[in-house]
Amino acid sequence: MSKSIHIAHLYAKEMNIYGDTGNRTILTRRLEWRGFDVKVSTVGVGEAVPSDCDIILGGGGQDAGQYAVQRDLAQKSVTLTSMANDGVVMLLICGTYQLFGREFVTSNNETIRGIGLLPLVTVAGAKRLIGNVIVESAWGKLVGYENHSGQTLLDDSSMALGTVIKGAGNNGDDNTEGCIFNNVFGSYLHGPLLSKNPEFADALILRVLQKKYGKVTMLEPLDDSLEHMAAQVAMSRPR
Amino acid sequence: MLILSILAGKLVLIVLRLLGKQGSALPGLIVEKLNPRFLQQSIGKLPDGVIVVTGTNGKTTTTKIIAELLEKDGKRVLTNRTGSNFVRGIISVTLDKIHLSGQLPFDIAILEQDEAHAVHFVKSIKPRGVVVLNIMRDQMDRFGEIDTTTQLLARVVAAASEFVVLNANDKRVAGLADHTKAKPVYFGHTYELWQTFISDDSWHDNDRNSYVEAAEPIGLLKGIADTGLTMKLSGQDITAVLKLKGSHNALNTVAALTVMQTIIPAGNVEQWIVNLETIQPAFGRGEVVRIDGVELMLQLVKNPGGFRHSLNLLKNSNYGAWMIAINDDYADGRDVSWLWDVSFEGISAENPPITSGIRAADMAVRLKYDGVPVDTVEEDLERAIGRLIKEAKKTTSQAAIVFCTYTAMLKIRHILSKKTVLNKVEL
Repeated sequence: MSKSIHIAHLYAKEMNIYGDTGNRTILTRRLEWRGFDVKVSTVGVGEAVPSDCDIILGGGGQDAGQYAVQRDLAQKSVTLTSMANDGVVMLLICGTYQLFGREFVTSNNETIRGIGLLPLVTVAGAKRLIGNVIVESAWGKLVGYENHSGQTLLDDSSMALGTVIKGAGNNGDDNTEGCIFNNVFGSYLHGPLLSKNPEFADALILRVLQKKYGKVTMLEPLDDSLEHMAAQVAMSRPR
Repeated sequence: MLILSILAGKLVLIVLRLLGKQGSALPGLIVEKLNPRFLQQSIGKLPDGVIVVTGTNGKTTTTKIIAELLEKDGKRVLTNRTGSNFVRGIISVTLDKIHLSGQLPFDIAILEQDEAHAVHFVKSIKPRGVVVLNIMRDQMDRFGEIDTTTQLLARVVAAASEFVVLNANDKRVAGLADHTKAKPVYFGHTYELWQTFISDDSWHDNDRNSYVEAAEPIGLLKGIADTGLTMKLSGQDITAVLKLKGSHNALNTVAALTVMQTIIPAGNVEQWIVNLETIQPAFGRGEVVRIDGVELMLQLVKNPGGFRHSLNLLKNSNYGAWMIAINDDYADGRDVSWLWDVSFEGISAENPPITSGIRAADMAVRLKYDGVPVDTVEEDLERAIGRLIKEAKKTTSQAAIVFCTYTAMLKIRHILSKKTVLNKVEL
């Protein structure tokens, strides 16, 4: 049986404003260190999402980039929704996270349609939500850095990624951060997210392997002492 | 009002100095309140005007090159050496040098200005010229989006009365020509150097087609080698061996010479090159400190573009030891995600690196994922520097390089100044 994992990176060029490509680096290495071959495809405007990809990643971008991408994402909507329902693992940060929701209402009251894959809407807020964040999640404390003026409101039935202990999270009001739907994870956390949260990175990898190989697979543990050290420091830093 | 504000300001400056406080914004604040037209009445009256140097990377070094070349050419130059590049800082610099009579004994001012503060500055002073070196991603938490920075700079260049010197290969900078009536003058580099100067937008896919053809640049960088840089200035071939190392400084130099040519069209270029080759690096920007028999180079890093250029210093040399010191105070950028937009793959020296500063562990994680094992994670800068010096002593080159964010650089300079003589950085 081939041990090869295919990572598809959405809009690697347009939505890579702040280190989120690091999530791709981290997942690639953590798979390679366990003996997997990793193929990385970038999926830009006008390019098809590979049908055989195992993980889809997307990062944050500038407002201008988001307008360009939004139209193209609509073209990919059917494919992505079907993959999400199938259980393909996705990790979407910031701007991409927003676009996977139903809509984004700008400060000029224009509504930008998202692909409606995640049960949420985002509204431009007056205040920028920025600073260090700690989130209590099913994978322990997640630590990262948020920087967004969009306020994301989850539907009542939605599942958040976690509860905010420090910081703003989705909107600064309801203490939720991120959103989970099936194997799709959205979050505002930069850092990049996986850099100081290795348990979460491995949880994503486990879901990929379970979907692909159909049995519960144990992952060979890695030495994450540096990541834990970095997480400790990050959590102690002021907002 | 001018004399009174000068008196008050100088008094505050003296008191602060006696208290050992340098670089305070208080004198500037007081003068601003007493006399809102202070800048217009002082640097606004300089016979050869004010030139503003701005952009994401290279401001301090380029300002220094222009100021020193003009000084060696016989001009009296007012400049802000510490890069106190907000408006009150400029007022403080001026206060320090202005006579009680109100006379400012200078011909011209070359002022480094942070992009955000330049917008405020040009409300008071319409600069004769504005130099925009580059627009790169920088501390997202301070400056936000790169498009925002570009918009700010459009307002700055709009205020230029005579000329704007622009980076022709940086499309956001080159586009600023449309926002000003001042004459655009370009500097740039040839296609052969496309990869060295690749933009943040194109870095991830290493696209050679991302090179933007330079629009008739006055200053054109053609080559960089140990033997020096080669360039053309108004069509004339030039070679120079600089004390300022690195590809970034080669382009900063071309920018500075382009400014010189614009200010002094019939200048003695040969003499400029002779003088250029004597210029020492600005503090923390490739500054070499000799300590305990070894050489330490201090190289400030602030953003992915700058760090990528700085790493070339390590690649193209034989430093035996190296260190990366990352702090996350406001001036460093509070979010360290940007480190993941720099590649460290294949970077090595005789010794594995030490990581230091507040976010030493984050830097070690970054290096681990690019296959660079770390010698030590030592948050304490003094201990880390001590260890680095010990390592450097055992190497062939007897030299080490330290890549450091801004506040880490200041602390390291302070640590080193206790053991050896550093160039004092005066106001």
